[in-house]
Amino acid sequence: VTDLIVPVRLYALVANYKVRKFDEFRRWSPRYSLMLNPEYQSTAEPPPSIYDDVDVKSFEGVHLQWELPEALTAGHIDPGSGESLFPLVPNRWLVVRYAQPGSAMKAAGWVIESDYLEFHDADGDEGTTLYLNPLGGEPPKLDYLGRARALADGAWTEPRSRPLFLTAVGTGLPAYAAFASYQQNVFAFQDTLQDLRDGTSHPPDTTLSYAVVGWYSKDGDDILVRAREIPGLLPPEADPDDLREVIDALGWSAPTGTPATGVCSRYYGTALGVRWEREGDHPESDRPLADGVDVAVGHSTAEAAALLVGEKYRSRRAGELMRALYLGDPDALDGPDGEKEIDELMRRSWFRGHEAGYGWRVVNRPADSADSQPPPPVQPDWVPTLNQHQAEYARELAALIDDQWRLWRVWWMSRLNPKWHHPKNPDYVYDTAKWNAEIAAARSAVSSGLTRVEAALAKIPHGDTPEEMQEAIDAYAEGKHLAVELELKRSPEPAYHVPSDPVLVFSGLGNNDPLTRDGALPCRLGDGLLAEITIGTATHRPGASPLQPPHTAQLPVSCTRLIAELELLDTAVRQNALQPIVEDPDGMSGGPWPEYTRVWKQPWLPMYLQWEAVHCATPYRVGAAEHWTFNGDRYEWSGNGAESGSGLGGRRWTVFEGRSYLTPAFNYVAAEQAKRLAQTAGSELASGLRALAGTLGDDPLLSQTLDGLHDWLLQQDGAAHSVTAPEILPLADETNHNPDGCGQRAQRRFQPVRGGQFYLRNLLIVDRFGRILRKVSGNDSQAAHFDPKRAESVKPDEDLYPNVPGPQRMFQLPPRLLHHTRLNFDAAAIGGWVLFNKFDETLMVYAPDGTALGELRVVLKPGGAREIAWNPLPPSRYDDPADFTGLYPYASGFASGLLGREHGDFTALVKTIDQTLARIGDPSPVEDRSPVRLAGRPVALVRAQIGFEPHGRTLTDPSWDEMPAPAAGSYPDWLWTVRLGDDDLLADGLIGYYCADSPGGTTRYDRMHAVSPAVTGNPYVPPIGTGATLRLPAKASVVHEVTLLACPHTAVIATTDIMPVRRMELDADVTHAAMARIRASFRLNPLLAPERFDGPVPTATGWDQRGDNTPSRALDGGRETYYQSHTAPKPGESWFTVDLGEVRPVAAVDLWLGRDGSDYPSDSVLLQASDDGTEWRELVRSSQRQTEVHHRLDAPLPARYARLGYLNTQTYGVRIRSFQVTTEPSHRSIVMPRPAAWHGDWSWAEPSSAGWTELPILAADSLTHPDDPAPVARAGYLQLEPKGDRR
Amino acid sequence: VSVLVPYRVRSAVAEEAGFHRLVVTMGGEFPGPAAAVQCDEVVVRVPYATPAGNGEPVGYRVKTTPVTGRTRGRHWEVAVFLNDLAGLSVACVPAATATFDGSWDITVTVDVDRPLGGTTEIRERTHEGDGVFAPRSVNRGVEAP
Repeated sequence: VTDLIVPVRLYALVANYKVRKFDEFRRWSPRYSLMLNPEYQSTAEPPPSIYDDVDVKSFEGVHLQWELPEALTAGHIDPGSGESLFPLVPNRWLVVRYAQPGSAMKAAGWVIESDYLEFHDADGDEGTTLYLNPLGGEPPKLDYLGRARALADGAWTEPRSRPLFLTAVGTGLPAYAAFASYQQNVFAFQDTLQDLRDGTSHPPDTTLSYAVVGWYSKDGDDILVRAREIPGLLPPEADPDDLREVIDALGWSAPTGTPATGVCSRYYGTALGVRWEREGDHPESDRPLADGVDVAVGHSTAEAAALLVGEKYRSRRAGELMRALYLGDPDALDGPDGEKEIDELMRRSWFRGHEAGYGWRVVNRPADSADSQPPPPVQPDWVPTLNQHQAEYARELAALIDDQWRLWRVWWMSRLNPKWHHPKNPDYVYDTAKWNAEIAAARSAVSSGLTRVEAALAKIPHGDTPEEMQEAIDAYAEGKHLAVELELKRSPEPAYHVPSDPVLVFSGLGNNDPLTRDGALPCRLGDGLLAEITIGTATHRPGASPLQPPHTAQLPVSCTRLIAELELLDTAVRQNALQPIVEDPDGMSGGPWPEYTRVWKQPWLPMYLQWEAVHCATPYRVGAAEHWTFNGDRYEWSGNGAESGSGLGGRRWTVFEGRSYLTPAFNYVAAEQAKRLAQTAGSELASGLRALAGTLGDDPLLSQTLDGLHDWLLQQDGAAHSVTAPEILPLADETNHNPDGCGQRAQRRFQPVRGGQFYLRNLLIVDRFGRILRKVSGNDSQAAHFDPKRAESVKPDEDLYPNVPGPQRMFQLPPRLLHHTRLNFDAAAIGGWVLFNKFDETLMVYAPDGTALGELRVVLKPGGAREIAWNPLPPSRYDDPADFTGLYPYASGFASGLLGREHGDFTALVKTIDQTLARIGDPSPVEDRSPVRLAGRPVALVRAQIGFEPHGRTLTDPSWDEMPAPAAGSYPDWLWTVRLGDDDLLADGLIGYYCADSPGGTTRYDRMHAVSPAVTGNPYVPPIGTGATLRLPAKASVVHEVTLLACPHTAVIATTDIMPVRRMELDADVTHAAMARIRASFRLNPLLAPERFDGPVPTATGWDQRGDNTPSRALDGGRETYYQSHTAPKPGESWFTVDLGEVRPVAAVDLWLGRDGSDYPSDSVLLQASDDGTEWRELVRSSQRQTEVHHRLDAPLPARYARLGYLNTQTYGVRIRSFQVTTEPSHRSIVMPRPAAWHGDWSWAEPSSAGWTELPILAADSLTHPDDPAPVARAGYLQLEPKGDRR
Repeated sequence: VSVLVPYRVRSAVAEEAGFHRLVVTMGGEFPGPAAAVQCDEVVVRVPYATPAGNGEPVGYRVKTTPVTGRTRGRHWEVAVFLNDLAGLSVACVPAATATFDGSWDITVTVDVDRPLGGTTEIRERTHEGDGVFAPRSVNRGVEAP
């Protein structure tokens, strides 16, 4: 067997007299006894205010702690159970100490049995740390973990063979692997040095060197063997039997010569040159003075860290760049909306998402090449049904989760000891009957909810694993006979949001350890260790018989070799020669250099942040009065409504204390982002980015959220408690929160809508050994001097009370819904199109499909008044916008709203459109080249819905005084502003919107709220301003419907401050197809021009007809008239045929079928063409239901006939509104000077008895045309139609 | 019923400004001849000079000297309860039954950020010899320094 030597970091804290006496420590132990004791039911970890005193006597000595390699501390999710699992870790550790207390060197040794369980293993010794026996089954049993055996007391042999259980997280406390106080005689050891006393009362001053060597007591549990069980660790192509590949997957580097099998892992670390002076000075460490630590506070890490970076480099720009880098898009800063975009990204980071279920769609299976991807398929009828079932499941699940929380809350509280938890107020009465009734009701609700969820789940594809899920999807699709080229896809719905807890970022904390290792961990082999070192001119090599502790014979064979290496390095320590060797190992040593070898320094390893935040609520609303005002960008506090009480300044204060881990996450993320960007950057920039990534590890910023602040405001406690009791588990399920009933009434603070200010009364940094740095402490007057950097978003708008002490340390929490909520802002439909024709000074209005409806222009009325009038545009016959209210209500509303208004309103509107479009960036260059742009840019009339959708039921107050069945509060009725559009953002497409006075009301088209009105004071175009016209409660049932006037290519922004900014974009396929049909019309009156005609008139025949809806009506050019058959067509027998009179080159056939709009579309159409009426060529065969068929031939097809039939048997007679066969060239034309045809085709349209007559333009020439009729004065429109694709 | 465990209640200067300290030592030498006392809970109620008002949060720190050993209760766990506006209660519970025999003690240091007043109520669950655990209590004023 070959030993693989894996390096570990070994820290040694010297606790001499001054350290014990003058350093402050915060060490604590888990409270499993209290947690399991029904009398107390406390949290597993004590709150920050409860801790162990560091005993001056017993703490003396050297405290060792070793840090497990990352591969052993990384968890993974078990795909079967969904639980987090961690790998087993080495459970035996040899600690060796070299000392020279007098003239002779001494070696001492201890074996740490990390997983010794005092009660379970029962061999007489006491264990060290209270633990929950993982081998004892349920309910959890207390035990004591870990022991140390001094080798001086006798030989150590492996004492037992039972299953291993120890992992880096111990009983599940994440800090287990790092906090020394949890780990005594597990991964930490206190050397009291008492064995060095030689007749003296205290250990003498001396220099010490330590080594630890770790191993698994069972080779079969070695990580090298068990790693194959970790899902996803080994690459698919890796051979799990080749341990070199396993080593590589663990992030370790296997040295040359490592065999593929028969390798065991050993773990080794040293602490060299530990200076022990009992009465000596405080050893120097990296712990800074409190004044040298800067603190920044913001709503996200990026926001707070940018302040410190800006401060460090004395450049706000530097801070912004780092913020942009952290958020992942520094290039955005150079874009036209740069700062705005980064700002939006940052604001997004103020929130965290919450899964919101799924939606289903049928999509094309990915094609081999992107070019051959067909258009998106029409959704089968069963897809909406499936989505309804999915939504039903999501609803039922949300209700069940609410009911489970309701049950857990009332059940948990009912079992709390009244002595400790109920308000000690004479007026408080615990009504047992009421509580029991509520528990019974909640049980019943959960039971029926479980049944409903199960029933809902059965209707949708589902599975526990990704593989099962895909199988279920495939089976479902197969059951629906989905075509093979299509697939059923599930995609997540937009997430719900809640605000993230505020973040503190620190600089100057004196910790330079990166979050994760960059590069593989260099391992060595047991027979390939350090071969020599150079001290002065002498070369030293490891001795064959190093000085060893007694009784090492039973230890792994590598121990002796590693002790020999310790001896070699200790030789350098004692000659003050280690530092140069550490600095130049290649030059001054031979053989593989042991990673992490360095000269000892007193460790300072910041790990925890502990805080005490004092909070005063400044509610959004009190009674009917709102105390926060939306300024269009964020909410501002008016200075009123702060809660009154008998606390400082006459305010009511509550205290939130907590503890969580500090991480250098900011530097890590920024460095990783830099590396990512470097992969695609140019060489110069890439090298700069890589250099930046390399330096980001220097003096990293440590950050931490004030974890649990928002839970605390909801009176929920997320700290670890005992597991859910089996009697309630099947109903309540596992929960990670407990209600806080606030027996101390003065601490009641239930705030489902956050709003307040706080300051930090206590802020401590605690290191791995429990040593602390006080940044803020003491009473209020001391804490008042705290001067943090504050992001703008946390600076209070007003002081909580006059002359508040230390206003610079106050932080504002603007109003936020703590209820998971999302802002829905979706386009319900394109309501039409509007184009401002600059040449004609008209507003042209189009139907949703791009067909012209009419134009609005200012006309002079009798009497001299100028007002807005309406003219239909070809092919429309609508003489009044009211005529198409039923078909196109939003276009009609828009046009009707303008009709009859004054000239000034028209000017204000068109100028506003024009100016806003000039600001909006147009990201669609294809459509930008459209000839319609000669006249102007089409803008869309979009019907959109806006609403807040909370997830689940209204949150309720769990205070004892409200329980067991608390009433729902009023916060769901509170109104929030939604401001649409952003004048400062080029990437916002909104021009303005029309809305009702209140949600659910009738949309008012007599004013357009404009993002940026071009004319001030015009009543038709008022500014959106702060957006106060759109106010909504956070209720799913309340929706504001608005009609937007917007650029079709650019998203419309909705800003609320209480949610991330929401963007609404139109489906590009839909807009593109509609815009391709938009024709620009230029009014020409009078035009003196003759018409030239030289061909037969097309005729049509059907199989029968109803009433006077003759076949010829399908050829009259209008879509309001139609051919209607009396009987249903029979497939292969009933044809509607158009005869062109002669064979002509047919370029296109356009059909409008069924009723206008989407009702009664025809299906299964078959379109054919023929030159002789006998042989037919198929043009279109479609089984899709549709109201329009537009078929373009790649090359004109010679044909005289075109006919339409149906593939399926129809139930009723059918309707054909228009059957248009386009030939090139046409026979009729108008003779006039033809405009340039660079951008499209020009035609002439003029009113006729049938509606409109549209004629091609024949260029006038200088020849004589005696057959031409006499020219007549015409009034009509020159029309410009785009070339190319007209989908 | 009077308590079996010896207690000392002293005041001291807290490290943090604005805090008031009470030091309670449990155990130590018995004032007279006594058998060993088995103990599985001690609750110390520290009264405030004036009850906390609405919106006057009580800040506290509680530290205990670490003890080890089977006869000393292995280790002691502490919980603090604030549901009484007139004083806070510190519950000290050994992980195993502790035997006070005069040879050892445990000290609980309570810092509170408001003035303290009145007598400290100490409740214990103890027994001597082969007896059964029973609640006992005593009120103690602060000893002279």
